[in-house]
Amino acid sequence: MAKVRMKRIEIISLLTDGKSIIERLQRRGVVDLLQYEIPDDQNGIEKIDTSPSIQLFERNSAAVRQALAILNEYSPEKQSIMASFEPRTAISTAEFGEMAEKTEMSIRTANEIIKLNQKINENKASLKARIQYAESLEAWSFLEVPTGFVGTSQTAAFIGTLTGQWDRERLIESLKPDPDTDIPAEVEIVYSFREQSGIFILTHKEYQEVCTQALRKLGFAQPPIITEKPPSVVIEEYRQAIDELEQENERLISDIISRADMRQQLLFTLDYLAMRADKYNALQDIAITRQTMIIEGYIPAENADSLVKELNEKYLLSITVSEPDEDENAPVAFKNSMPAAAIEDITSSYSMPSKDDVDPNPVMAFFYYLFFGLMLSDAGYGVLMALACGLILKFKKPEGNMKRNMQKFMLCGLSTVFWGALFGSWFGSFVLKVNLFGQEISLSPIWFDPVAQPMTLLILSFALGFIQVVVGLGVKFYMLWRSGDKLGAVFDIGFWWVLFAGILTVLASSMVSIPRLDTIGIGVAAAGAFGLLLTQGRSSPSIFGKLLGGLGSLYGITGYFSDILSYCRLMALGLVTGIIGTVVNTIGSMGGKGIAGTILFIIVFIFGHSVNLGINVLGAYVHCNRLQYVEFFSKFYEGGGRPYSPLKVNTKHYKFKEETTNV
Amino acid sequence: MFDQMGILLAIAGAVVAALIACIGSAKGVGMVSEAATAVVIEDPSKFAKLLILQLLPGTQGLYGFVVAVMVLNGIGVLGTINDISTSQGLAYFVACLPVAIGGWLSAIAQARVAVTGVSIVSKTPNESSKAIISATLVEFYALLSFIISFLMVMNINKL
Repeated sequence: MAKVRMKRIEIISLLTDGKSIIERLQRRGVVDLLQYEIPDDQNGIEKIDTSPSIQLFERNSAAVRQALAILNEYSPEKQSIMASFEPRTAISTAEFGEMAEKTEMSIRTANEIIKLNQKINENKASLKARIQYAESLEAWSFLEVPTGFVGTSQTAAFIGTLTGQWDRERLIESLKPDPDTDIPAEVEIVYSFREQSGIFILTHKEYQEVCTQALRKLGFAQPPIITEKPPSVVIEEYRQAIDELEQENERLISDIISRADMRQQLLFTLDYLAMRADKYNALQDIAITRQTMIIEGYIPAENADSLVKELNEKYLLSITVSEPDEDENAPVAFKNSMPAAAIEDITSSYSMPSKDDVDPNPVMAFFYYLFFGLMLSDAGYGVLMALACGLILKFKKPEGNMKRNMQKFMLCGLSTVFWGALFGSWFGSFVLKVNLFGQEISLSPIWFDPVAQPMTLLILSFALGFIQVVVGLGVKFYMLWRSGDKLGAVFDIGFWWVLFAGILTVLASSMVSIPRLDTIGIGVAAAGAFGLLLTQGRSSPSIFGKLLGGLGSLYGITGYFSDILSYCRLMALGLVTGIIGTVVNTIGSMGGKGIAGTILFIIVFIFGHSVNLGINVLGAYVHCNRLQYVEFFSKFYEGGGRPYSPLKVNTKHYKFKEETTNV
Repeated sequence: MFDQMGILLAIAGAVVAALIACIGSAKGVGMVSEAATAVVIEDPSKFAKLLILQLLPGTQGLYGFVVAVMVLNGIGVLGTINDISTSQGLAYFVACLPVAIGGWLSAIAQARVAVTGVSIVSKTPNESSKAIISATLVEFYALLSFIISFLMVMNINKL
């Protein structure tokens, strides 16, 4: 249990070896580089500005990422749901070199894919415009002249629209200036809808004026699209163009799909570019002179020797490894064995420990698993969780965070089985009677049934909460004691313990009949309170201030009270899981015992319990975290440390095989 | 009808517990989901992280439901109907009020916190656990309401 001991490392090497050394450091992944501060009076030391290269890497990897997204759109990769659990593909250094050489090619491919996709999108846009155009001309397709036709030397043509539905007779009637005058004209209704009609009128030039006036009254308007060819011809031309565009797009898409075999190379390139960007970022931290390079950073003490030895063998350089100064902000990393290791990320997502903090994980681990199990509290669900996580760990071999999470939830599952068995909850109240070796084992509660005795569970929750709060204070006691503030430890923590012991004694006196136990309890509690009253204001300069400080601190008892009350969530969440599980079983068994009833039961059972499991795992997880963060950490944990983030191979898809050859 | 008053009041209590708490949860989950959907449009990969925030205000409905089930269980609607006096029925009704109203209001308050949490996830996904913890601070009061309703409902048949 502990935080990793960090050492300060300084490497001074020849500039010519610079890149090679940085690459090696990245491969080893143990040095957290420190930005080198150039002292004011130092001439000749410079920094390297690598930001243009970094920007280039970022541009390229954005292109590769876009290309991959396009590839996935047109040629989706079949991926099982389990894929996210799988480890990265391991490749040897030789394979790495080979693939790295193809970087330029794959960036070219990526840009080709992007260009193809752009062309497809342009085509799609013009396809859409053409289809709309052809559709709006569709109504005019019976017209045998262009819609822009105005007539010949002897004739005048009117092509356009009128509002409302029209037929030929009505239109002819409407053209007449008076009921007795016929206008000799060829009248056609091209189309007639409820809102609008398209008309065609051909008449002799001399009647042009009469017709124009008559039509104006009717609200005649120009056709929406003026064509130079008959509409049907235009539509046909557009159809052909649309077909061509569609064919071209199909060609372009198959062009993209034909590049799908580059997917792995593209993924590799993404990794490779990220690695190089990291490396160039690291180069910004170091300082150079004309001939040498200076690297500063932190390294875990346990890794220092092997790295120093390796570097000394390969290069001509000078390495100094030293203890960091007291006031230095050295990075912090955890080093725990299981099961505490699996919950390190719970602590780090709160805050990394400051340099005075102890590593809270080992102490927290015990409570974490215990509380999680109590809140989920159904042995059936626990078995499922532990099995699922265990199988994934065994067969998919996840790495990093995923591995930790699987380990964490496997242990949480085991703890859930423990509590579930104590409470007799196996998929709700689904009491199984198992015939094992001729003996009937019924899954009734080993301890008590929480639904029948909720108060017992409530008291258990408070008791566990009380223990965690006292343990949290214990850690604080240890920290104060270790830092030399032994009086502070006794005053700030010890007196509280005395007070708690007194209150507990009073509570116990109501349950067991030992004469005068309550008086003893009151006495002890008063002693503790008196101690607090006298000591808690000790930093204040005046007597009055000292007493007031003491009184104020006694008010802190309400804080402890509400902290412990907060643990009633252990009971509430535990009850909810079991009751809903039971309700699921009740609903499922409503169908009776026949075949239909059995099928109904199976469906309701699977669906209901999946939902219940999901919601309650979520609840147990967030409330378990909250109890650690708010109730436990507040007792001793400061946080605010800088997480250790060494320069390393930070890839998503590929990793190096454990190196056997010496490169 | 009046000799059945006890049962009627108890059922009214179960209705209130389930209905009002579920309305609160539905509103709450709806509010957070609306905010989350806007983020998922931009970046579908954040869906899993947002899902937790979306579900948080959903638990109040669950608590109301559990209390309602315990009431129905207590009066025997799910099996043979017990003899419930009017005062017992009224007690059931009153006992349902904390989880109904506490659940309803806390679901909405929690949803407000979770909605702002959604913007934390959209901008700094690594800090999402802080958004989740903030939202669970509100949840505690729903839990208290639930526990008190639950304890009362469980003990009313001793009246």
